[in-house]
Amino acid sequence: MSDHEHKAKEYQAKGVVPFWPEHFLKELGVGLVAVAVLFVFSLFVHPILGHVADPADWAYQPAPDWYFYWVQNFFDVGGHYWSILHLVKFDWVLMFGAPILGVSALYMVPFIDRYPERRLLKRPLMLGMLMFGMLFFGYFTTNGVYAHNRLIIREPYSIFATSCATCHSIKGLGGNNRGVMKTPTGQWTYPPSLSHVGSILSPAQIRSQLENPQDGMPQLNLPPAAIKDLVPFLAHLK
Amino acid sequence: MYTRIVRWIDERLMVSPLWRDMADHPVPAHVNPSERVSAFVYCFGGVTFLLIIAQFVTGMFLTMYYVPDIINSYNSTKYLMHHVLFGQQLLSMHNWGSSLIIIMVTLHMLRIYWMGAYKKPRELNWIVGVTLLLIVLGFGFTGYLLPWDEKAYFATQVGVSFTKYVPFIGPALLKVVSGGSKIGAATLTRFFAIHVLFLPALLIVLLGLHFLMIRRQGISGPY
Repeated sequence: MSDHEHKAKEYQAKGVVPFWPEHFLKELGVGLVAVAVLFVFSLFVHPILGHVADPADWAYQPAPDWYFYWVQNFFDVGGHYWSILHLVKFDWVLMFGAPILGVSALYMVPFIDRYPERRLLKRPLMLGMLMFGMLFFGYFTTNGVYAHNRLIIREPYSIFATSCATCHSIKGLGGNNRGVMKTPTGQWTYPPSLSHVGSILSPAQIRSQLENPQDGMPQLNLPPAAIKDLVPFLAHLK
Repeated sequence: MYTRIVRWIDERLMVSPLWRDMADHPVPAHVNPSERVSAFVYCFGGVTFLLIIAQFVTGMFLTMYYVPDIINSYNSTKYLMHHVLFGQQLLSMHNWGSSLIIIMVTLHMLRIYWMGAYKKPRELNWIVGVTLLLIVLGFGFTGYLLPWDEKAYFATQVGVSFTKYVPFIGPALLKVVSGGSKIGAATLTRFFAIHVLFLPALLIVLLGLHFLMIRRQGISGPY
């Protein structure tokens, strides 16, 4: 009996397998499934490269990567209540203390749960912590996505209110006489109502008017994110 | 011939005993998915490791085209996406791979937590594991800035602004992290260096420790 066969018998008796090649190949097999999923997914779904970074773009609403939504939303919601409670002076407690507490709790897990019992259902404290954590991440992620979507939907309205409504009106709202101008030929021109702009101008025409205004409209130097939001918004006014 | 070459090399390197030690070490059957299908939960860590290797490989190829400065980072990314053979796929794999790693790390951690596998004598490995989680999140955060589009810029601005709340050293730390008073050219090169040099170095060392401890303490048994 060779050395190899000897070892194989011994391992079989103990109910174990050698790391190489049995265990390694099986682990690799499972891993390759994940890599294959990643590969195929990447063939069909591509990340989008936005407009080049422009620090002066006041209209852009940043979104974190999906796994950081909960961070942003936790601090947004927390900061809101913090200011209601007049604790702004102590905002480091929320913004620094809370994350430190969270990370420490994660590090301390083996020292909080020191007993040999391993069944989760018999570890009520740890089960509670797990439930709390999952509800925490779940709630703030969902809420963060919801809050971001609401912000995106409101964005064209708020850009219109700050940048357009001084001169233009939509269905009687906004606009005043500040935009009225006398042309060199003595005629008065009025900023048109935008209530039906979508049926008069195409999206491309709206875009070009916003980027290079014609017919007496001043150059507003709208940032790319504002134009991106305004074009579909105005094109839908039919 | 082959055997002779291997023997010649091994006489000089003497890695054979190390290799035998690693190759022959017994792995319990309860973690083997071919023994019991439910044992695939033990593979989440290994899958994460394989995905990390994939990130290393795709990242190396991306670095061939990527130029870390504020004029060219956006343009080189765009060039890579539209004009380089397989560039789009490479970038996609690196991008989605990061998300998949986060998912796998979370599953791995849930498995450890669920089974109480961090209990004595494996406390130290849990600590290394949590540190690895923070490093992985650091990879995600620093990598997000590199394409230098608006999403990257403003998300980083929000993320970096958290450092100013650290007591006493906050404002100084903010300056160190962003390399100046605002997000700009210095931030980009800094984040690039952190993403491709500092964090990988840390990751390799801590992964080594992580695996060493698994070897020393063994895989935790069934209940």
